[in-house]
Amino acid sequence: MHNQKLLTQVSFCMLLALSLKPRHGYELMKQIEVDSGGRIKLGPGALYGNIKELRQAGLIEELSATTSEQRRRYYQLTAKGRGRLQQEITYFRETVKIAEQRNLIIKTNEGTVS
Amino acid sequence: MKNLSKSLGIYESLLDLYPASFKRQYGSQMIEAADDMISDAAGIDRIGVMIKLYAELPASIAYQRLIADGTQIARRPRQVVRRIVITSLVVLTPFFAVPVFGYFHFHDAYFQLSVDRNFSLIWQLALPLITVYLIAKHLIGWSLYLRSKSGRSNAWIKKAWPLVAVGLMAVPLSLLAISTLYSPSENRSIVASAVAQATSPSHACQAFPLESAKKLLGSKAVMNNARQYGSGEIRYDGILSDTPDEIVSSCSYAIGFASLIIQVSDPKNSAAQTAQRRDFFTNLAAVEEPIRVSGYDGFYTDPTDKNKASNNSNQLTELRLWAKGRWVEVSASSLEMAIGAINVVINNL
Repeated sequence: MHNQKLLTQVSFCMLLALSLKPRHGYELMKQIEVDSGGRIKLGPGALYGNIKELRQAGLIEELSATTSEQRRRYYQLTAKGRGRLQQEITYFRETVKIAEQRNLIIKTNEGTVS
Repeated sequence: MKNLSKSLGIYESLLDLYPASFKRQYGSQMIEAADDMISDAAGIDRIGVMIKLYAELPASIAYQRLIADGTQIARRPRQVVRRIVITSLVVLTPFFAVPVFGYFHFHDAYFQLSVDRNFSLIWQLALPLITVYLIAKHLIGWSLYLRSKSGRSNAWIKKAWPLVAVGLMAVPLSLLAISTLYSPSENRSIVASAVAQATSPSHACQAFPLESAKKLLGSKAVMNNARQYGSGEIRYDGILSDTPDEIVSSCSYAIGFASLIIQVSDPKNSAAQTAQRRDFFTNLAAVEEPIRVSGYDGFYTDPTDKNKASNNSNQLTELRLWAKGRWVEVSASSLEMAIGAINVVINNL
């Protein structure tokens, strides 16, 4: 992990969105938007550019169509992709821990952190 | 594609600009996603969605094309390098061929192609830029490919593409602006001027080779002309499209005699402007020996010309120098022609 470059924010969000179930392009776009709190809104060009890169890196794969009429292509995490997502989450967890130790995270009344 | 609207037809055709492999793999899925986005948006929001769809295309297409170039280099380096070299040679052949042709065949066509300002600005400057673009895009693509391969983010180029595009456009525009501002009397391009001066003694007279001029002027026919016509003032009236060969050979019979006026005028030049400049240069005319060929710059800037930019192209440059015991006067429609002509005259007095 230490020698590995961090994923871009978009790539991380894509892996995160695919962690629950396989999704097709538009579903993926919407899930990323939800997961990022509306901060990341991808268009088809950016989405499929990233899908191509993640596929080449072996982090996601295309599900084979179940019927010949099925137009939508679904993508799912590979084992490598799931491992990579875990690594990223571990990194973020450690980062949050450091931030807590330095009193950088303020607890609110609702118990959430900001 | 149940709800594919007419406007997505344009979107679909723009997807052809993606590299073929990308379009083959993701084109139909992109249209599907775009269609879903439009279907989900209501009312006026659809316009926003459409704008977003089209707005992201330039950066996305440019990036995918660069990556495709980079991938090709990584996979088939020899083939790509060979293709770049061959394309560059094809593109640059006319760039070098025209001045070389002009060097060996003093011909009006060369003058039109390489010196005529409007034409040279467009194509002569464009040729090396095309080559630079070809090489640059492959190199940028290669570096993006390597970055992407090693897991580094290329997000910067996706965000900075408008800046890069403006920068790329600014290069040729700056060159054009510089060539217009600093070209002495014609708005020719820097490239055209530099190549012409380096390669063509006949047309870019700042690099006028005296040897070839002397050969011309020292020929038997020229001396016969001189004996036949005797001394006195000989005036040659030509127009801008005359080649310097024609001018020099027509005037050469006056060499060695009292005075010489070479009048090369541009038909578009007004009589009033000509008179104004003649007076100005006449007042500056007395120059004692020795005359340095490279030392004439000061005489070609006309401080009375208030509107230089508009008058730059067609002004008549007149030089009247006292050289080797006599007056030599040259009028030419460009600085280069005047310098060339006066060099020939002075060195053969």
